[in-house]
Amino acid sequence: MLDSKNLKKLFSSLLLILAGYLIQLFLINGVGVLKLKPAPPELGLVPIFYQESSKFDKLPIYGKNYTLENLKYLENGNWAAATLVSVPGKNKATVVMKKINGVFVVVMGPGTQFSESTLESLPLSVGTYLYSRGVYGS
Amino acid sequence: MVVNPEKKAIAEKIVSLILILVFGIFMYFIVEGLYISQRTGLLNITAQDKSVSLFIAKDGKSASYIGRGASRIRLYGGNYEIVAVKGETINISRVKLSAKEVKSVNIKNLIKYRVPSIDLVDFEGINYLTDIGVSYPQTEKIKKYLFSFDKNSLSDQIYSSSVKAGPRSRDSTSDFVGFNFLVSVGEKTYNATAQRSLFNDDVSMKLYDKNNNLVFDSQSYYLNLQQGD
Repeated sequence: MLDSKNLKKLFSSLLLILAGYLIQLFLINGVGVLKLKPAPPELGLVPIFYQESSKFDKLPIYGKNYTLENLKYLENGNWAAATLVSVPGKNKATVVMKKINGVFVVVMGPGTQFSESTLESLPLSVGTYLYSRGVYGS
Repeated sequence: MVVNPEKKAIAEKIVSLILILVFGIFMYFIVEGLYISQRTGLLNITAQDKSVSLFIAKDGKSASYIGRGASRIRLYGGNYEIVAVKGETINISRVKLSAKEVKSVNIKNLIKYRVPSIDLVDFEGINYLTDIGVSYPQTEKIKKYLFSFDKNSLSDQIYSSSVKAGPRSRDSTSDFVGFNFLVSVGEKTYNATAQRSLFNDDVSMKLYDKNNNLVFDSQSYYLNLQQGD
């Protein structure tokens, strides 16, 4: 049975755990380590453009919520196009990416059909490739 | 109350085990805290615009949302990209962070990043043109002209009170009728004069700036399209 002496010991042990936690917070200035999830090389920003801004705190995870297929680099690697596939469901959409400050940013899409008004702003090779993928319709 | 010595001994043992476990947890907190503090750096991020969404990313790693307007995060050493997004604008800053280092990053200018598309433009007040008889296909052409004039504008506004159908003589034999309106494209306002066909979808439009200089003519727009410009 637990007598008062043992109860004091157990209470002190709870204080010790709390003290350990507080010391750790002090050591790390109260800021925990952020660990980033894996993504394909150069394509880590894609989920930002695949998510509504109101749900930025729940960005889709590569492999779990989406994958990228048919990745094609264009314009000496400064542009790229890929098929974004949702998981589960396997809905497909095209994303067009351009390197900004060395990182690929989704500048068009995700979408299944794009307005021809965008063609004037795309490099010829990118527009031609997108036409071949049939993303410009009527 | 008489306490069974055997039960007391068992209780003592259990309490001793709990104390050992607690000490282990205590030490784990301390060692982990020391390890993290020695292996990671601190990044203080502030944005001039407090409404921008902030993300951190690294090559081979997925972006992670870290807050709005400002954030303070701890990361293992390496090269990171700080991404600030607001609507159709973005800022990407690169930072190299070493262990035990504290760095501050201030995000200022965001640039437009989306490929200009007519679908992204809000043509406010375009329906006022239908009130004076402009057909739907003709309003679509007006949209194309305005988009062609400034592809970076995301909001073009036609002022309702400025929309005026031009005078047309009862004896006129012309198939066209004129109309005028004020339109703001981007941050500037222009005077638009237009002609629409009464019998088909043809419509032409000219834009004049505040000094009455011609800044856009839909005839040139078609000429450019033919030349593949």
